[in-house]
Amino acid sequence: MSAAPSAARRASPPDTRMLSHHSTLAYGSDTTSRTAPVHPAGLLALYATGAALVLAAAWLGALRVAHQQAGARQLAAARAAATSSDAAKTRTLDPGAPSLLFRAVVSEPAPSKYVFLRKRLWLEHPDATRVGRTVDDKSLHDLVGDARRTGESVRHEPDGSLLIARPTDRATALARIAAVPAAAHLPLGLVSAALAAGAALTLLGRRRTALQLTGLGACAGLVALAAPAGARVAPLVGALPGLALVLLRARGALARLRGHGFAYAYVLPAAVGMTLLVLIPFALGCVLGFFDHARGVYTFVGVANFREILRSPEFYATLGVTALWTVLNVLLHVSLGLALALLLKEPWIRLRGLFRVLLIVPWAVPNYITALMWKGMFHQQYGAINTLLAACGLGRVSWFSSFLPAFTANVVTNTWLGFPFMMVVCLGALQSIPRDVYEAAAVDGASPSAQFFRITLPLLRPALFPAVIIGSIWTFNQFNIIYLVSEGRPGGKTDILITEAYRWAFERGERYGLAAAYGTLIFLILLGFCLFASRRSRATQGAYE
Amino acid sequence: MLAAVLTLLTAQPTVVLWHSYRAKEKEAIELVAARWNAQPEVPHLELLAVPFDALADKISAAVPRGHGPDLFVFAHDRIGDWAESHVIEPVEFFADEAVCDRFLRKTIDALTYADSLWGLPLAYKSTALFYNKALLPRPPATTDELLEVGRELTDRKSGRYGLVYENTRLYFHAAWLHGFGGQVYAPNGRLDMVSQPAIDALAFAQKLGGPGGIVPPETSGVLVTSLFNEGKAAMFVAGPWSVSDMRPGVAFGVAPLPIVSATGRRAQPYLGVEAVLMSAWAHDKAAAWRVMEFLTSDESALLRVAVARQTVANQAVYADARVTRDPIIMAFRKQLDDARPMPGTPEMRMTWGPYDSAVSKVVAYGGEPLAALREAEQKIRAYLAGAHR
Repeated sequence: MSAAPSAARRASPPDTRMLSHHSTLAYGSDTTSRTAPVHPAGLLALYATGAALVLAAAWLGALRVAHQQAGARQLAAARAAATSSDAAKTRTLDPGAPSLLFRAVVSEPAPSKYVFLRKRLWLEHPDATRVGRTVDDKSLHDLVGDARRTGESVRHEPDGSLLIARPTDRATALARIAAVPAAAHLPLGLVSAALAAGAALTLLGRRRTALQLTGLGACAGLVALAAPAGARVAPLVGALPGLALVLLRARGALARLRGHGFAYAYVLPAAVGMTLLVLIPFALGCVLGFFDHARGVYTFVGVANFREILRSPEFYATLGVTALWTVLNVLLHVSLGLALALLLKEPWIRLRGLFRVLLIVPWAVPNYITALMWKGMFHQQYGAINTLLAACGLGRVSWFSSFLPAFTANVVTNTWLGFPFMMVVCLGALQSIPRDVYEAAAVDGASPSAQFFRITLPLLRPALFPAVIIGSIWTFNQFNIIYLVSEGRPGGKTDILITEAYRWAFERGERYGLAAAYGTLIFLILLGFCLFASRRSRATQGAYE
Repeated sequence: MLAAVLTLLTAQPTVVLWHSYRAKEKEAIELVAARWNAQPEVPHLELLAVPFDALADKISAAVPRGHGPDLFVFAHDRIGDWAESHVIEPVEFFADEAVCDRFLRKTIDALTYADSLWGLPLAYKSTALFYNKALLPRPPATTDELLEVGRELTDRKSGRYGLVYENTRLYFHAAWLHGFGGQVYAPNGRLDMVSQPAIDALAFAQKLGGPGGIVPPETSGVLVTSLFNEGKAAMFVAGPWSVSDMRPGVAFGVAPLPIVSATGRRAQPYLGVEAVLMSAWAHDKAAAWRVMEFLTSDESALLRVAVARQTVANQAVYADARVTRDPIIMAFRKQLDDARPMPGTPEMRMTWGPYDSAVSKVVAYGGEPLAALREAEQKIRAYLAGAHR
């Protein structure tokens, strides 16, 4: 069982193993070329797994059909009973149909000034003549009331069964469809277990990766088709081949795990936290983008949300604003931060420490507080900025009445918030540039500007690049400033993608799916930007090394 | 905490109620709850204060998953949403005529949706006209008078204004809209926002808030309150929630909003009815109903008025001498006759944003009423279409 990995460990020293893991593309072809001996046990396990899966799928499918048929039969019986039994109140209830609970006779409408009291129904039970006024009867009462309003009403009972009510002429037919017994869910558990076991066994049996994955994927698809809650389970099951792939890839990692158990134990809490707080919400968000939400119900709509977004001209306008917003802000943050860092580095400035602290303060204040302060300062009548402008003999500006001033107000606020970070980064990086480089340059007669462009900037670049990338991402998703300062005024023109997504989710009819699709698009845009930027940065780094 | 441990130990059934009351109103509901719990043989009532901004989202998220409280306090304007998504429970099954007759009819009507009753009313809240008695001896009876007095009291140079209200929000603008005879949704649910009355109402709001008007630019809740408190504004459109924000020493009165001179109808602000609603997943619905009934009883209502000056929904309270002596409560009671329940439909919730922008466009930036309304209507129709695919 453990013969194969240990052989591999013997064959190659740890260093080269690490390397081969990093070059992921090479790794795949590597495994296929290493023709492992066909392990008879592994092969057997694969076939057994496949057979189990097919059987389980068939079982589930049959169960589902039977369940549906029973429900339809019960409802038909209940309906027949409700219509036919009208004569002389003799209840022709089928004793063999325990699903038929009662007939709801439409009593004479109570003379009341309240419409909801007029429509109240008195329920008649098959077993007695009592009139329902207990809480158990309440759920039936509401169900029947709903049915009379909408034609048919379905209620999910706490025990998992379904109550269906359908009004007929004078009474309401009621059927209870029993829940799928818990044992029926067993196959699903078995299937999952079989999948996991199959994946593990085939891994050890060293079958060809592609073949295994195809088999697993096909089985998973079958299960997804047959499962009663197919829609809900399908993504989960569909994810299993991916899981298998990860497991496959993790084989080497497992071997390493054995060697560095303690290190992984230390990482584990953080990894669990990241999974719970970042990975799972992220995955759910991505999935949600393919659903439509209306009144608590989610329906799968494919790529309709993405299509709707990409077809709306507003999206491109907002994207343009967002891009302009990001570029302008980062440019201002970097240039202001760099300028201040260069100043603060100069030895002739007194109280440098104090200035440094003061300039970092905007960063230390929670940004929504700052945003609200600036919003107050931009007030047309009472704001500090207009008071200053007026004192200078300039007119008062109505900051949020058109795009340009409103956008400017946002940018000013965010620049105030953003430059300290860049300043700190630059200060740190400037410390690490050796003095003698400048001295040598001065000896060679380089002017201060030449020194800046030829020495300072290139040597700052490696430190600045990651900061610029982080800054861009922060600014791109700077929800607080837009939401609090300009509030999207005028008429949503200063909204950026993230605030737009928020509005779709919470101000325009709870379209969570559309908002999630926005989120996915934002992620894709930023991912593309990061990949592009990091490639660029690597290229430029190479040039200066 | 101790209470929770005790209930666990005694294994007594518990009814949990979430509310977002603060200060005096919180004190009042806690007193009422203490009275309930002092009775023998009743399920224990446990209160939990949840911040207002978070309450609706918490309810929408928790209840469909079987968590959350048995009862909660919220304004009626979400019942449409919550009824449709089975978050709240219809309660007409428990109710009878005697219980319903306790309340002012309008408040019960606001809690009726799809021919069902969805809660029992605690209080009603609408705006009315606050006025500074030092600046204005008598509140204006008509909008013409309002403009006239307002202009006399306005002096932009020194930052004095006749009237302050959050004039770029539909919630506050609605009073004029209804006074001019307009509406946002027709009673049958059809969107009906572009009409001559709606245009007239916007033009009037522009007269109030535009250049040469009597309302300061870029109003916000904090700003208008502080202007009124500083005596820089003579009149202030606000609701009962603002009474506790008034600075001690400011002699203010409250009166119903004026009559719109152009139509002869009184300005009709939106009415919000604060109610106890029952979760669809309440553990013991009969017990929860008993608590609801107790919280909204006449005795509890009197206590809430006495402690928090709440504008309660019980009719009997307004026959009580202790209440009729309070001119502020009586002014809001009078305003109730000319207040319109906020539509409790999901559609209305998509309407606020675009309509707010339209009002703001006209009032603050001199836009054309018709064009602004048309643009908002187009947006709302698009949202409605998106949500009803």
